[in-house]
Formats: sequence, C-alpha cells, structure tokens
Amino acid sequence: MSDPGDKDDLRSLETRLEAARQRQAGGQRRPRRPVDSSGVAAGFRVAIDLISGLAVGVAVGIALDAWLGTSPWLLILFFFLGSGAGLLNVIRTAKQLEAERKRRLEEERQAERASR
Amino acid sequence: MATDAEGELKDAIDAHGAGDSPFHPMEQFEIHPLGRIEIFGLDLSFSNASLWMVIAALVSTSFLLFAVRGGRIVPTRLQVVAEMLYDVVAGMVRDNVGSEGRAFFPFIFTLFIFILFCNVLALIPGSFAVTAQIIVTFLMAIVIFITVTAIGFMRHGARFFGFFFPAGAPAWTAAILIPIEIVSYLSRPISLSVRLFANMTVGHVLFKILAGFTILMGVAGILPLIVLVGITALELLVAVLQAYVFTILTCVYLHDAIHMH
Repeated sequence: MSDPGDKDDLRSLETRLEAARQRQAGGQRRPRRPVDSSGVAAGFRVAIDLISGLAVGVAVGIALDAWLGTSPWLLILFFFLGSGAGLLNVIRTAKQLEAERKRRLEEERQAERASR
Repeated sequence: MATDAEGELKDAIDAHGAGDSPFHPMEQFEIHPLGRIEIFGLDLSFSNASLWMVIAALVSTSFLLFAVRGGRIVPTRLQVVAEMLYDVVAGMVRDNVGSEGRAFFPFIFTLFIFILFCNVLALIPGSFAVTAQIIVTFLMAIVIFITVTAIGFMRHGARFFGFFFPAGAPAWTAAILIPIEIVSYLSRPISLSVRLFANMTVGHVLFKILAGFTILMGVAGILPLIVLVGITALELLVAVLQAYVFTILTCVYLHDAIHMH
C-alpha cells in the first residue's frame, strides 16, 4: 500500500490535478470564499454580544438588590457595568473577526504564490 | 365581570391556541412526551426532543463510521466529506487554541458534529428542531462555561483571577474594569446559547409562516413558495454556520483559559 512508487504516483497525480484545475479556472484559481464572510451572521453575532452583556448586568443588579435590599441602586450601577461589558464583548468579537479575516487573506495569498 | 371576560379570553386563546391551528408558527417547538417515565417523582419522559437528539447522535455516528470504513488512500466521496469535517475542526482547534488544544479535539469535534447534525436534520420537514430549544443550547453552553473555567483554575490556580484585570492598566481603573470584566465573562454562556437558539428559532418560524401563506393564498401561493425555496437554502447555510460559530467560540474560550489572553 505505502511503497515509494505509490507515493510518487500520488504526487504526480496531485500536480496534474492542480494543473487541470488551473486550466479549468482559466489559469486563475478562484479564491475560496470563507464561510464566515456572511455580514448578516457577523451583525447578528455582535448584536447578541452587546445585548447579553447588558442582560447579565441587569440580572446581576436585580438579584443583588433583592438579596441586599438596596433597590434600585445596584440595578442602576450594574446597568452601566453591563453596558460596558456588552461593549467589551463587541470589541473582542470585532477583533477576533478581524484576525480571522486577516489569517484567511494571508492563506489565500500564500496559496496564490504557491500556484504561481 | 372581569373574571368572566378573562375566562372568555382564555377560552378564545385556547381555541386558537398552539395545538389547534395548523398554521401556528410556534406549534412546531412544543415538546410532547412520547412515553411517560417517572423516577422518584421526577418527570423523565422521553419526548420528541429527546428522540431527535438520539437520532442526531445515531445518524452522525453511523455516517462517520460508514464514511471512513476501509480507510482508502484514494478516498470515496463520503470519505472526503468525513475528512473535510475532520480538517475543518482540526484547523479550528490548531488556529484558535494552539498545540495544547489537541487534547480537547475529541470534545470539540463531537460538539461540532452533534450541533451540525441537530441543525441540519431539523431542516427535514416534520422533524423537530432541538437546537431551537433554549434549554438545550443553554445546557451545552453552561457545561462548556463551567469546564473552561475549571480548566483555567486548574492550569493557573489563583492566578486565573488575573484574567479579570487587563495587564498594564492603571491600578485605579480596577474598581470599574474588574466588575465589567466579570459581567462580560458571565455573559459568555448567555450569548453562546442565545445566538444558536435565536438563529434556529427565527429560521423555523419563517418556514412555518411562509408555508402557511403558500397554502392560504391558493394559486398565488407560488410566490411564497419561491421565497421558501430561497429561505431553505439560506437556512442550510445558517445551520452550518451556527454550528461553526458555536464551536469556534468554544475554542476561543478554551484558548483564554489556557493562555489567559
């Protein structure tokens, strides 16, 4: 199964396949579209990040108020902390999406260079 | 008087309630026990949700086992699909967690395949959308949250608390930043579970409403039917994408716990 002849055969098959693919695509490989490029999905993700931070902040505020009997001060405090947390979530998500996009672009560039 | 009116209203709601109308968009999410099982007074009935989770587990396992049987060097079509799924998750773990993430690969792969199959099987007409139940997604998210937090404390001990204060920030900002970071950390399971749940629920409600229009509008129902075909394609994308996003966020959280930023 794994004698060197087989491997050489496979390698030459690989190069021939690559050449055939390039011919088919008119000498130019179409860049792979990343799954995550969908703008709606990114927007949805960011919106939920923002809201979940706020929701958890408000929930913690209400719970602490009920426990300590300080209504409504901790709710007000944690409303603002929750808003901050939501924004922090959004910034982190945006950074992560950006890093992912950069990595994909880099991969595409490398693939292009390799096929040239 | 008031109680009469209330009773009438209740009757009216019951008459048009979820169970009776064939076009009610939320009826599809109702859980029906298929057989009653009670253990020590706990209702552990096997429901339609449990059934579809079992189906997803069985279908995914048998698909993967069937696809890679023989393990050919020149793969069959199904084997290519299985290898692609493996490559996607392996790449995700490598890029987002690093080499320490390899120990968690079986868990991440199982998670991805289970959510993927739950989401995609839910697109079959007449099936049940398990991931459109908030309790299902929330349980998965909370298990991940607790596990990841435990891993963080096991790796770093008390130093893991440093995760809640960004290095290099001036000390006086701690009073604001630490509570914000803690709330942000606590919001992780909420956003993780609500994202999957909301995406799936919205898609399935949309299906049901458009399908209702198709039937009610008679010949003109061809228009919502055309839209429905497009929406089905979109929902297939959403089903795969949301499984991917859920898994990649699990990887990101794992990375945070292992490397602390």
